[in-house]
Amino acid sequence: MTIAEKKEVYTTRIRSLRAKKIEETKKKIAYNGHTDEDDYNYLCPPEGYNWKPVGDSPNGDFHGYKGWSENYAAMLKSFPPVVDPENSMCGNFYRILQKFRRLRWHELWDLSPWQATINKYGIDHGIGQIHHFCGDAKIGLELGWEGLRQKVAHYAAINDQTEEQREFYHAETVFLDACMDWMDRTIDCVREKLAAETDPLLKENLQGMLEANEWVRHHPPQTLRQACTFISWYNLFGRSFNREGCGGQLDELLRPYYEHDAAEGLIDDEDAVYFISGLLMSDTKYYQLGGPDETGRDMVSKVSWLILEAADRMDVSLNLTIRVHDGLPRDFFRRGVELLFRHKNGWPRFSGDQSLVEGFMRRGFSKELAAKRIAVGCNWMAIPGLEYPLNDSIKVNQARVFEVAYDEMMASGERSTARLLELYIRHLRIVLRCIADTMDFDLNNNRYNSPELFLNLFMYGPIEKGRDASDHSVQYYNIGIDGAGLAVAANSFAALEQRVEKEKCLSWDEVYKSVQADFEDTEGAYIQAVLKGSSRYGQPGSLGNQWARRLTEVFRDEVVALKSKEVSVFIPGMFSWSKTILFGKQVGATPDGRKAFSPVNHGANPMPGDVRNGAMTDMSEAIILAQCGMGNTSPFQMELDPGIIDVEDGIDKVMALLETHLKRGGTLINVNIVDADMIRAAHKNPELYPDLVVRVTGFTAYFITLTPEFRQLVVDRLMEA
Amino acid sequence: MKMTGIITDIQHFSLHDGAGIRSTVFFKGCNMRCKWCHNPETLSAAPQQAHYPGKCIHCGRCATGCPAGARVTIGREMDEEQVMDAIMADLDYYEASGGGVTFSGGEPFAQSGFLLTLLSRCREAGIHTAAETNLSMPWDCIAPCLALLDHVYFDIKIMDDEAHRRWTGISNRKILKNAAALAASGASFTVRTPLIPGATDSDENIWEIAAFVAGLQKDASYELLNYNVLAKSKYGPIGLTYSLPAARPLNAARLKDLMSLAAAQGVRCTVRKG
Repeated sequence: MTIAEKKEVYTTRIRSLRAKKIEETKKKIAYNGHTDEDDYNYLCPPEGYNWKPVGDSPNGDFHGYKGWSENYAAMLKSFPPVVDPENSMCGNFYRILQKFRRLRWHELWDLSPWQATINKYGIDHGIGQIHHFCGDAKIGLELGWEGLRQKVAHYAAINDQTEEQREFYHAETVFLDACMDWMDRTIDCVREKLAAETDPLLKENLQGMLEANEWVRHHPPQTLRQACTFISWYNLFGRSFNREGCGGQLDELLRPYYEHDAAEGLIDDEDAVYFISGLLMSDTKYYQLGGPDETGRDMVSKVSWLILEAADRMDVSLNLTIRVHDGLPRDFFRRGVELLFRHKNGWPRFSGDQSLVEGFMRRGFSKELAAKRIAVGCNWMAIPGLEYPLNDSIKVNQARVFEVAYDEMMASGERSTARLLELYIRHLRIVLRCIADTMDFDLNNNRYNSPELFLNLFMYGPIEKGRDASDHSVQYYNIGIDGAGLAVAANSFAALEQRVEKEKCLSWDEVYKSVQADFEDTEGAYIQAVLKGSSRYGQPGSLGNQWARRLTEVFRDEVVALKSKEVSVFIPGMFSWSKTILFGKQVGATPDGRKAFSPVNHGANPMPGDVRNGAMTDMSEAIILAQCGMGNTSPFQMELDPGIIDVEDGIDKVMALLETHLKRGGTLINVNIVDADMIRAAHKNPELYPDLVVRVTGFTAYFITLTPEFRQLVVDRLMEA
Repeated sequence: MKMTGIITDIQHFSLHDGAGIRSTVFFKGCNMRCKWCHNPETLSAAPQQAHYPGKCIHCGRCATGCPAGARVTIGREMDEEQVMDAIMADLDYYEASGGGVTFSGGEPFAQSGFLLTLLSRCREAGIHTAAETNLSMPWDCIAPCLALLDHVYFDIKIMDDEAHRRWTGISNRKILKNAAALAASGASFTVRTPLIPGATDSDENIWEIAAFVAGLQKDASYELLNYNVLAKSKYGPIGLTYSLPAARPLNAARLKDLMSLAAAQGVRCTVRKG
């Protein structure tokens, strides 16, 4: 075959895989209902599939090394093998074990020391949080699956002092045996399909698939196809176990194998694109591309380009992040922006190297370590193999903290924004103390609840020490704490300062009475309008911006000052994830004019409608003020009209917008390219737009999979663009 | 004493008013009365009220200023510091994108003293400047600013003077004379014609304007701005009636024809949204 013919064959297969994926999405909605979450590329279970885990507590949940390992092994056995002759990779799953759990923690645990505080402030605490850290796939690429099993056996013989250690290694062995059995059954299926296949080209693909899987089953990968096959299984095991979703620096992980194959003349770039597309199709994991290595050299390579090429041909939901820094090749950056507009799928995203590195260094880490800390989650960063941050798991609802402080101030004592801030800080400290204490509890107990049997294999420490990653075996426990609802709190402070203290057009009592009545009292509409018309977060030079900065500084300082027995450091960020509705439901009406129980702002963004004319530069200015500057992100959730590039040098203008935000201190930009008419039509009839992908928050999802309530929120946000 | 002017609005992140990412300063007040005007809120030189009855919450406090945005004042007096603060806020974006500030309106040369002050300040700050003008003000208002302007966008709407008077309220003689003077001054410029169905979009009009533009400068830049329906909604709130309610944008084929026609005169013609 000529290269052109091969390209045609592969592209046709990739298109076919895309079409099948879209059909599968429809089936999954029919089966699971709306999910408000990422697309993980799993399949709808076959008819009659009814596997259920065996519980070990009254509510039916399973726990600990035994509960997770044995149920995982049983679940994998229930999966019929999946082989598609058009795909370069094989295997897929039907259910995620973690999703069978009813409760995140053990129902018999006594959380009473913290329960009242958790309930009062609506804290997203750390107890029972899992998998929000990044394994280093290199560990597995160097050892292979068989090598990992030997490593477990090796350390099991050394660390044989306690029953808990024996349970740990036994569980890891059960886990790996189950994974390899799944591979074996899938390999058998590949063999059967190969025997039955009549199309010579598909037969050739199945032969390659068989050889790659047989090799990877027993040896460390040596070729690009084998490396992609290894990582594809890595994705399937991690995701089906506990929804683990970190990918890593994909271009660097694959580069040695591509270079080997290219030097040996084993593959051409069309083969590489085809293999990579199969890997990307296996899961919507978070991968970083480009960015400086430890020496400052940019990591963009031929493989980075091939990954973008594969993504371009696939045109599906993905989570790719380009790390922007001075050394990033302009043409690679440009290509990323072009693809963002071409497919309007919300990828790639863009992270800001300088702010992230300087911030992490400010928190006490070296530049070399900061460079290794990469974008691997919705809003978050982690050092593969070395860091256990639980990022994007623990959140403080700042709107609720404000509400508690506001109620207390109005109940008695002096009424002023100065006192309100004092009370706000006091309540924030109570929330953070609770988070620190619950983290100590979690790090001493979570192995009995939800051990990290998959990620333990890819961290430096757990297998060597015979202890779970949640149990003091990883090098860094840098726990991330995100603030959410910043705009509500900042606008509320600003409105009170402006309308009550400075202009005196409303009194403290008038505002409070109306807020308590959710602005439904006689003067409610007027008071709400006056409050809403105040100087808001998102408007240049506004009081709202000033309060956002002040509250961000308060949050940063309080989180940084937080101490705990088990946590190395706490790192602040600002991100609501998709919990804007949930957090809003925890908070009554607020003095910013917000109605009771309505959503809080998304991430670090201003409230929808508060940025005049939707000026992205004004929004950027505000979001820069919400940066905590400690290595975690306050993402800019950017919604852009596709027509924005229909001007001379349109792509250059967007590049300048992205780059300038990141240079001014921005840390991450999640972008949606939104056709307003299409999104409105899709909201009315989502089934007519099964391939419409939106970046919901840090993750992308098919619009059709979102609940109507969540779709409305996305539509409201996107209409501002 | 600080110079002041009447400003309708300052729009950040403007992508359609020149190179790069720009801020557009809309001056208030215009000496022309084009029947299709896209910015009717900038016609009056004084601040004015706009009414949006749908936003009224019936609080009865109209006299003290509407809190709900049902009655808003369009335009305000700003001093040079206030305008420059707003411009400087996006300096990083201008530098990264090759952008700057565009003075538009209304008619910016109608407040030429204030414009000159702002242009001087921008030059000191190293900010790229452009103006969007109808070029109908006396040359004395225009000439001093040219040395401080990096680019000028000016309209030639209709070549026939009688039709020009009928559609815009004034003769085009001064505009054409100023255009020649501007070209002779060596200023960098782009000529624009808004494509208004029935008013400016005839073959004859575009052919004649393109010929005139070609005469100003070899290979001159000439933009055709397609009709934009969005202006219609701006008239009611300020008590004006839109005179072209049935007008629609030109289709792609017609735009292509007009572009070819203009290009045949030897200009570099482009088409974009109005």
